[in-house]
Amino acid sequence: MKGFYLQVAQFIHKTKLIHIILGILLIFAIIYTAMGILAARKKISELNERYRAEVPMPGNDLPRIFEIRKENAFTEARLSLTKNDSVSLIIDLKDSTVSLDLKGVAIHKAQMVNYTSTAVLSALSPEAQLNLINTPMKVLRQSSTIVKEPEIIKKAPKDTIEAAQQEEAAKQDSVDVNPSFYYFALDNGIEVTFVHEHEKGHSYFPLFFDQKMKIFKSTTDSLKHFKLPSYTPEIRIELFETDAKTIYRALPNHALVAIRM
Amino acid sequence: MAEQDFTTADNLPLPTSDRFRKWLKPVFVTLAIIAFVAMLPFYLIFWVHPVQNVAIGLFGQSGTLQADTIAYDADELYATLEKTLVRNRTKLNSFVPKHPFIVINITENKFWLYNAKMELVREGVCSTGSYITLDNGKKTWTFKTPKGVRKIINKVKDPVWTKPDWAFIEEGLPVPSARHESRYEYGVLGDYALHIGDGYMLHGTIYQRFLGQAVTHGCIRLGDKDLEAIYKTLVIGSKVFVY
Repeated sequence: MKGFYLQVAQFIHKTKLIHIILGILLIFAIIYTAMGILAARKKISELNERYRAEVPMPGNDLPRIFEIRKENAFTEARLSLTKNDSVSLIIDLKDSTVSLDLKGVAIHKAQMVNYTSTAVLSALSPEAQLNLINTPMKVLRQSSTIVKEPEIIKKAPKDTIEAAQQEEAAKQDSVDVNPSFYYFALDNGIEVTFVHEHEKGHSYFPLFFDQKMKIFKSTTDSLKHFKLPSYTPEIRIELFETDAKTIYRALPNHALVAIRM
Repeated sequence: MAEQDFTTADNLPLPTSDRFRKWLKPVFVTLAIIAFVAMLPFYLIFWVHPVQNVAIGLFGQSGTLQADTIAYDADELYATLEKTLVRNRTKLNSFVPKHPFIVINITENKFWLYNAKMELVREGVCSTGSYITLDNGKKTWTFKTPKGVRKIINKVKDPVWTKPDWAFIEEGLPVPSARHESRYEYGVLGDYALHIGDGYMLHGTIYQRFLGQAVTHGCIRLGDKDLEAIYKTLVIGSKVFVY
């Protein structure tokens, strides 16, 4: 058996074709990474252009001026949210909290367990950062392991006996069986992903994998056509279970989002 | 015992460096290749983004300051910005309710009662809409508690429940006429009811064991003591935040 392994090892070691394949794979990985970085830089330029300041903003090179401008921008976004009749989402990366806002009142506040934010957001120009956060963003698409409204269809019973049988029937809510994992694609291309802190392992892995595979597929497709892939800036937030499901269920499908950076 | 043949070079014992070349090096290289091939998909799918993030961080900011040549007085500018911030925050604070209010979480089936000073005076469990859709073939009713802001529009002591059609259909009973006596049920809503519009109420229940569960037809059911505190604290016009 030892001889067999040795023969295999020697075959792999000596066969040039395998070396060539490995070389190709390595080059692909390097190109993939490099193109991703270039795509991120392109995204930075795009966002800088999209959120370019129309009026001059002197003093952004001074931290205290820039910080107070950021506070002002965030407060302006919150004021805009008060015009909305539905529940809005406030992501405070500075205080590591996520809140639900309804008509200017913070009705639910959750402490983040952890969060990661793409370097793209902090690499934006100060003016772009300010213009990005001074108006609410809108959720365009979302995907989740839990249902928004755990609706159950019940046929009207024919008589009181059937009614009593129906009452006994167990009701199963997807929240109780599925870990919360969801993401919101915002109208400016940013994706906000929420995961609940889960001790038993990554049961939300299929959706997480699906999210990553989509990026992988679109990147390889772009590379096949010699195009720069698209880059999605992401904020990934880990929350406690009850907070994660409460936030998802409270928000309407096209919720408005304000971010404090 | 057979004698070892040292007449040909192949049968001579190998020196350590040659043994490495013949045995160990191919094994190491093979293991490295297998590891590389195995890890490559993981890298491309999961780990490439952290690597890209580090690279973006290292390459620094691509954006430039648009107005770094404009002359300004930093202190004056800061004071102006601070004034704007105070004005905006004051505007935002004006949205805080002036009256006592209640916040209801329909996912967790919990409530928080606040006084006019925004102090939490009571919290507890409640029951909210079950999300059941009842279908009798002609019409459907969805039993969910509506999200959003509502106001207390009426407060009633010893309320009487006027059973709607769905209450009979759900029990498999024939639907009586609009003012039939079987439509009126006494005592099932507890001691108090606070109307929040569109037929929805905050009221008591005879099914105290279901508090904390989503079992209602859209109303918010509360325990007796909680209901009493809420009835006494909230006034007509008090806001009810449901999310």
